[in-house]
Amino acid sequence: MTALLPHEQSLTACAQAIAAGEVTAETVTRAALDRIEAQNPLLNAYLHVDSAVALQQARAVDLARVAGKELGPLAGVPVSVKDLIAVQGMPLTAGSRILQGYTPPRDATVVERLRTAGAVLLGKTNLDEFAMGSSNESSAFGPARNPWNTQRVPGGSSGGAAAAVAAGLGVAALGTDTGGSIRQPAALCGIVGLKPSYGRVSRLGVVAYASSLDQVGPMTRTVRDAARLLQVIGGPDPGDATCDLRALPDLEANLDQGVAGLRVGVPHEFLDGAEGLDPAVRSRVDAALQALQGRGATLVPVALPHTRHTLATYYLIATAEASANLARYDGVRFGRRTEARPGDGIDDLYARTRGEGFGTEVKRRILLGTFALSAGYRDAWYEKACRVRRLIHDDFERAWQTCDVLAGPTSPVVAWKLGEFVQDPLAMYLMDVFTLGVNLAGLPALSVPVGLHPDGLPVGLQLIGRPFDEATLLRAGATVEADAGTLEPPETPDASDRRPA
Amino acid sequence: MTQTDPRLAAPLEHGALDADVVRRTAQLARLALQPDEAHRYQADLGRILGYFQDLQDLDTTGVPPMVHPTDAAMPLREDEVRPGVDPQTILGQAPRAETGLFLVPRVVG
Repeated sequence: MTALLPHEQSLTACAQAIAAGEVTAETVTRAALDRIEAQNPLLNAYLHVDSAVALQQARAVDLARVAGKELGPLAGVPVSVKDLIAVQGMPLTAGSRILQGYTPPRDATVVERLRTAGAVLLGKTNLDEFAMGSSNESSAFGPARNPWNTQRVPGGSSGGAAAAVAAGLGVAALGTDTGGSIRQPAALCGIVGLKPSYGRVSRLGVVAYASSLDQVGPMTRTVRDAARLLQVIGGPDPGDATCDLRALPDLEANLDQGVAGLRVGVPHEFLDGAEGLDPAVRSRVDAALQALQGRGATLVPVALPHTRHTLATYYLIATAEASANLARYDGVRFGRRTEARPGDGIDDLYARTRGEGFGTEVKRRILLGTFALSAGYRDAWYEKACRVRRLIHDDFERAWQTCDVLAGPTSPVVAWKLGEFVQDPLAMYLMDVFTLGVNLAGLPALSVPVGLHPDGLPVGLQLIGRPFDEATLLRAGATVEADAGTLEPPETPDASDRRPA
Repeated sequence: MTQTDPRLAAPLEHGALDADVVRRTAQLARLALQPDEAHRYQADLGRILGYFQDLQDLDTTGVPPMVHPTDAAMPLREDEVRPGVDPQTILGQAPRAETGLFLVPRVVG
């Protein structure tokens, strides 16, 4: 792989170079498409690429610039969209066989906003089926691979998006995050991932997994890029009643103002009290915390005592909501339908279509969620989880009395081997332990690269913010980045596995 | 039905979820499972619910359920007619459609 050119290093640099006429949008787009052609057969980051339309969009930007028209904040920047988000004219699979043949009739609101801002849409990225997974291995189209080591997972569920941005197959990406699906793959691939506050970004045109948890957000090479991209996609949308009415502040205005006086809470349960935390991950995180302190932040020990119940609470609520949201895939209105058999009733049609169309993990979660909501078990499982959700939420509320942001590892481990946990769903669920609480409480959170593990794989620091305070979160993230630097993957994806057997 | 006794929270036998419960749940979810799949999910769900049993020990007396991360009321837009998607475009996505209708197996008489 050839090293990234300066204008490929970040979305903001790319937009600036195009606006200044230093490079054309067409050149930038061609470079991204060339990388996709060369590397996607190995990385499997994209499920769909539309070169002709992308080049058309790029040329339109170049013509607009030459004509002296005002360019949008993302003019000519090649970006990808997770294949859980509707782009008019491109197939939408959600990583599932059940949506075979489906092309959405409209853009999602976030995609409309990307177009208005002048972005060039390269294609749709790979994901765990219906965003259910932490490794991208539940995709019906095979896993995406980690550009740092192609024998390793890229994380999930937005694994294709993270692999694409890390390897330079597009400068930025839109992902979605229900329990860590932006932050964890961002950490495992060495890029920046931002999960905005619940309600910050419209979900119109986004395939629903768990509606009280899902958010769309940026996956980028730099913190400033994440700020720019959220500025474009965020804010009220009359098409989504769950979208908050508050306007976004200027997210780039205070990015460089540093962290002097900022109170950074360090949850005991995410470090000293965490089980299964890789000591080398821990040491990278500690170094980042020390660097924040060195720049004038105060580290405040805090407790999130209900953390150990987060996993059960999350999986019961997420799967319960999923069991309702995925009821629409029934073989009647769109997607795939089972072969008709004589004597079929409509329930046979539904059940066989769904049994054949959904993969193993999706069926497992639909069953768990249906069980948790079913008569006789609802109070003990779903409703119990909703009560514990409030306790988890209240832990964070208490933390905000003494701190402005919280910090800890994004993932307890670095990218693991493909296939390592496929037969052990519970072990895979445990990988999400640090990211789930944020979604239950509706908070914004950011993963920023903080260097490499001795295995040569990236480590991410998670910063968690107060509801709707993405600005402070990004400012803290920019400070971490200033010390830790951004990461570029090795020149050639290394297929050998450096960890001893 | 209110269940607070942790022993009643899930019918587990040797760590696996009861076969009838899995069958009934699959039926409620409209999921046709192959016999080997049903067997696998009995074990998987049993193990997952077994791990989640800890939740039952937590005292949540007086804690109201939280079903949504914000307590804010959802804003409604003005109720006005706006352009939608052409019905033919929607029907064009259906596995089977005819004369403006989705086709399914006979459901009455």
